[in-house]
Amino acid sequence: MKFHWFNLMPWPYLPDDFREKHRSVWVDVDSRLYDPVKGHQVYNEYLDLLEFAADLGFDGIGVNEHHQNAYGLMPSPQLWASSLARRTKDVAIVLMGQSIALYNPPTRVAEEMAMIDVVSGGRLIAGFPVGTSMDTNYAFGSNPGNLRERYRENHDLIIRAWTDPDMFSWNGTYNKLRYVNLWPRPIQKPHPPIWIPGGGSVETWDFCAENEYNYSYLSFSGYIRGQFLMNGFHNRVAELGHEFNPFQAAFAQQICVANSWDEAENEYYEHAKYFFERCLHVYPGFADAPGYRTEATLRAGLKAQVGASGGAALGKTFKQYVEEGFLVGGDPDQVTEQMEHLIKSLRVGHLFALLHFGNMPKDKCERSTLLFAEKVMPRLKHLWENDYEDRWMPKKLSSDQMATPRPIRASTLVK
Amino acid sequence: MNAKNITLPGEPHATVYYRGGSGETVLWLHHLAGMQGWEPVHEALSKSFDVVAPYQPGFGESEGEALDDFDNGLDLVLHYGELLDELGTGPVHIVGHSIGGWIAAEIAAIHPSRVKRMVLVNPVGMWSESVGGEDPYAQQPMAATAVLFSDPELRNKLVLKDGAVDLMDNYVDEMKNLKGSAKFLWPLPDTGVAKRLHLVKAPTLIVSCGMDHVAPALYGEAWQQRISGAQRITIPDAGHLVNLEQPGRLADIARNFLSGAE
Repeated sequence: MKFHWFNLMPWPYLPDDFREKHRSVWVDVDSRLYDPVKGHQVYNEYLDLLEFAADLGFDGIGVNEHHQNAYGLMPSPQLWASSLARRTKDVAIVLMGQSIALYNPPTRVAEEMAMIDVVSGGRLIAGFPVGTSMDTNYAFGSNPGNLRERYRENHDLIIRAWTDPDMFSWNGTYNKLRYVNLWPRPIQKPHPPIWIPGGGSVETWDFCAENEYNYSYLSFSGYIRGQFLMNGFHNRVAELGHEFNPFQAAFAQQICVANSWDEAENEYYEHAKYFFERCLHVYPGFADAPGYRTEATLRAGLKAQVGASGGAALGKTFKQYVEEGFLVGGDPDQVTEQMEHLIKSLRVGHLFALLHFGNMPKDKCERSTLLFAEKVMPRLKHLWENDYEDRWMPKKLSSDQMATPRPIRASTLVK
Repeated sequence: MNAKNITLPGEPHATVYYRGGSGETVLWLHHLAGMQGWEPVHEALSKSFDVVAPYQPGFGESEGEALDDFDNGLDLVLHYGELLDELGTGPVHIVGHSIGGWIAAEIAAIHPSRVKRMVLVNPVGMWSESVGGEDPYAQQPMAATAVLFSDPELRNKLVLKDGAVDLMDNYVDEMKNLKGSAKFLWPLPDTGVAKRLHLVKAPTLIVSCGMDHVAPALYGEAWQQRISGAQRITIPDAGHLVNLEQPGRLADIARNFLSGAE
């Protein structure tokens, strides 16, 4: 069982009356709520937390991409992934990921990911999300009617750019390139493991099953509500005649660990509330552009990934959050028990541990992360490991091949 | 009235259309959220004309996949040209509503000989930041077309038929239709038609609606200025979907202009 520490990097200073005064945390959210001077501290603390998690032995640390929002301040995940690649050593860099349909030419994505894979010594996990409707259609103006077609073409081009040793030309619908000849090339062969973050889209299940990609269900409604979609994926893999492997599936879960149940409630409830009530306050008109999801998905009654999931968590107590699975929380024993239930019921071999959520300050997050790393993770690491092969983790260089980056902020003076 | 199907040369999907009445042919091109089959406005106009009302590819009763074969306005212009040829109509009048107004104007600019007289109703296809307009593609999902009416409440009666229509089916249908127009109008409706409007030779009437929130009546002036000799009329109390709100009035206006009795 693998654990990846993941932080959405929310803006922690949304006002108490945010829901009443603003219609959306995304797309048209008032930019006057952002303060770049505070932002300087926020970014550095968030990056500190990722590096802290790497030191504690998490298998991976994750970054992702969102635009024009206070929910997650990472327009370019590559920027943070490259910073983390230089400042960490063994941990997987889970770039989860780049909305590949948005970039023209997408060879830029192939180049940047290859750079990160090379500089990190082969530690990159390459996430290829379609991207939310808010990000892709509204903020970046991409046409919902052909977003998925563009995604598929860009995917095919990136894979070929990584794997074909010869120069080739690409005459696609959305990309016409006479000379494709990538430099640098990724360390990992044939290419870094590919993970597909998905919400509720039946097409994504088939895509992952057919290509043997990891399906990462990034729900914020928790593991109890996640059952339906995760089972949908496993069933689809079986229907298409592929073998079940828990490491082909990942799930994201908010978690808080304290020394007691009461301490967990006192310390972390307000930050969970902040996340569910402010960070997920998306205007429904931006959640699902016409054509963003196929008719088949709409008819299957699947809800939009982020936009529609916020409502279910409104006005709940800490106890309700935990009972209904929005939050895994309590003392280390209680968290271990809930985690084991999550892992076994969803049949996932990878977990995105969202140990930071909402406006949680750094010190509280460090305490919870430390308890998780020391008192929860070791009791769950063995799950699945003897029965299944994990083909979705990076294959990094051996330690004697790894470069030693210059120590952080060492003196430049020659003595 | 039942829909008719015709498969045009070179197109994998059938074109679905309604046709009724007699007299000179009027090609009716529907608005950005589709068409309710043979509508009262078609029926009214068919008292004086042979009305041909096709679904734009991917809309309504046509197959959703049909949209995949059309990438831009020129593809649609050529499609409607072929349809008229296959139906053997010769030159026609055109009423183009909303997105249909844009395509009608493109046909008249690119194939002037095909078009006798033309009515553009709340045409969409130009963008001005100062005039703006509500985004028809960023609305509450279960009430996506409410913004297209002068009063959003009218949707309950004119689309949901006071509860007779299944809400989930209607939601899927509306998304299918809006996708069909968004493909050409996303993320804002600047189609480039403005630079081609001077090529229009057909006598043209612009119909603007005072309560159109999506394509405010001010856009009507911009269309009028660019089409030589165009006339303009404003219906002050109708919204973007004037075809549903005031079918009789709209049919009268179109009939008067197309018959040359203005």
